[in-house]
Amino acid sequence: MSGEVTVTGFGVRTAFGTGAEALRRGVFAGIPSFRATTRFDTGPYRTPMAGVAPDGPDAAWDWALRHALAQCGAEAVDLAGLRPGTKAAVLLGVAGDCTSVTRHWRTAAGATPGRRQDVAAAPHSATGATERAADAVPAHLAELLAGRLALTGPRLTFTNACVASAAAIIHACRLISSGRIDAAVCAGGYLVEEETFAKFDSGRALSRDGAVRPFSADRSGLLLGDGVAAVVLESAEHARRRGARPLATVVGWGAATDTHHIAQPHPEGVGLALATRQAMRLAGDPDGAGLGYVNAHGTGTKYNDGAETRGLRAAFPERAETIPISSTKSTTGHLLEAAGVVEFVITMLALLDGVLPPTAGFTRSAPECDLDYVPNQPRAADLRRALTVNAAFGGANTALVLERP
Amino acid sequence: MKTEKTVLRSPLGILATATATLGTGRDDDLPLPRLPGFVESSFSPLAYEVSRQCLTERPGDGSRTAVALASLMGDTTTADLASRRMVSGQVHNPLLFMQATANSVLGYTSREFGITGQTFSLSTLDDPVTELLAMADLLLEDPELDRVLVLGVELGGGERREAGVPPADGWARVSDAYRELAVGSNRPVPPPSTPAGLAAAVLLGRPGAEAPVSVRSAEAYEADHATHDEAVGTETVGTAAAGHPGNILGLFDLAAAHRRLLRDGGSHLLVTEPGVRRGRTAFRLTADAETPPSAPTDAPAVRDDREPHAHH
Repeated sequence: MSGEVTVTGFGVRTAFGTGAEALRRGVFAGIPSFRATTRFDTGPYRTPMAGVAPDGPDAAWDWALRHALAQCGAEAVDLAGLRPGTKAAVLLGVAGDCTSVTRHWRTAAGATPGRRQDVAAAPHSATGATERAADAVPAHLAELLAGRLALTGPRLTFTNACVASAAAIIHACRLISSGRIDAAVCAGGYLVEEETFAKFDSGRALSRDGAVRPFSADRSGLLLGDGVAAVVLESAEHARRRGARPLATVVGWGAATDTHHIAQPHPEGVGLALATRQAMRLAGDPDGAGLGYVNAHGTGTKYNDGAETRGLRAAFPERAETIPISSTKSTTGHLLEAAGVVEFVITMLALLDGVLPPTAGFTRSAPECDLDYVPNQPRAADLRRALTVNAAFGGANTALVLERP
Repeated sequence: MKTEKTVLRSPLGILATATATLGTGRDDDLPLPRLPGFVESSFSPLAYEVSRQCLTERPGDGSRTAVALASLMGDTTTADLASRRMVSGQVHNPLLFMQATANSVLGYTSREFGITGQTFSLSTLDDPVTELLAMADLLLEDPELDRVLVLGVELGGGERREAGVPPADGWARVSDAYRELAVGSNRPVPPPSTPAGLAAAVLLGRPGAEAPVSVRSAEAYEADHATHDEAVGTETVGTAAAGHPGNILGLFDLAAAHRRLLRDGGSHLLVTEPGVRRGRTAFRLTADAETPPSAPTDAPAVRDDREPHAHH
């Protein structure tokens, strides 16, 4: 590796609101954000629950992914002090804004929308409704974000589901550490909408009891949540030249595939262990001796949590039982393409604040989940390094290791 | 237009290429394999077919192989079908959930070929050739990887055109998106006759005995003279005008050039479409002089020997 990768800025928005303080009040206090969403008619589905912000007067604006990405991107760039015109890459993890797909087919079906459907069918109506078919195109959102931030570097959009924004961060780390680029804005976003909600409902993946209980014996599934975040990554040299203060350093990254199933994780967490070991090797700490926390993928599904536990045990055969692990999806919900970057920010805040966010909703241990999951209460900890892992459909896994300066 | 150079730091070796088309009406339309767990859409079968061809032709160590799939809009057939069912109040087919992301077919491919390296999918407005070759170049600097399979998949949006009443079909939604993307990008909207499905894959490694054709970044002046083949002295393969955003025809051009070099030897200049912000990118493909035993490698390239591309 020729260049150290530092984090110099971030912007984040979840159901708890915007910024780090909102995360501290919610995620770090162990308070779930789940409520019945009114964004669309949830009558046809098994649950109305999601990790969504309360609807406000600006809901139509708030639900446009392009606006939320621009907001978080601007905060990240402001904090980092990156100037307009900087040649920074914009690397995004998104699936596109699916509300435009819904709008197209509702219009085509000649639906007479009711009040709630009306909003769902035309969430951009307040801001110029019809010219948003392209927002469903993932690459277009990266172009829009780069344009809004006035950054002139390359743009690329990762669409690989729940590891998409983690993959964007890993790509930035590779580009920066190899000296190809000096700086990148990595962002990801998912805002709860009906297309994806209906798909997860049909897959019977959503929690039955309105809570997400990762690693707990009575876990029954995941809930979706709003999440958007952006981080500024840059070489240590570039940050030093600009006089920017590094918030954290990315010291390791890894990505690997399970070779198991199109949708389910390998029951032994094979790919997760491979990705984690890669990242730890790169961080120069293959045994995880300096690791103080793991932000788990922890979806709260039967399949994921046992597999993840076994994967982490395989990655840290000597140390797994002594490393605190938590799933912040227990408070935010599953943020899909945004999970990687939002949880990256949460992991960084844990390092900076010396507080581990808990796994909320935890009731009792499951035999297949036998590690320290920081149940229900935050925990003070003097951390130097932390790991954040994600997994996705197709057996894709990512791992990122952060270090406090 | 100015050309961007040095996309690739080091040469890449082309181990195999494959293409597949659906609904072009041409003889090379392949019957696509039925994949268990995948229904209704040809996106995943197309992606798997070209991957399978490359990985079968050149088997290798799956633990040292990565896969990158580029598709501007992804599986629009599945997205539209799921959405139509949802707005009409029908119960979702869980299989549509399972195949909703490109990850799913990448997972299927990884299982069939034992690939544990990174697999991921991308969306780019520019010619995916440049992004994918650059991605392979970057990934192959990882000492834990030897091979990168890159592929592009493009559905015309009209795969299930009969299922909707024009203009309220999948093509209408996709063409609306293209019309918006065309604003400011100087790129056209694809014609309604666009084939239902295209896919192309290239298996890349570092140059060596296994890879008789290599590809490297070409100097800017070569691409700037690309319309004057006599001056450059090599065959030029590439599209003259920009096609619709994110089209994968450049991958077909690369595959055609690879096939021809294997047969005839020599050298080709592959010029990509101009990007949104950057100019064209040029790559030089070169056959190892000892590779084609039946072809004279010192013979000048023959201009009329171009292979037809899927878009012609």
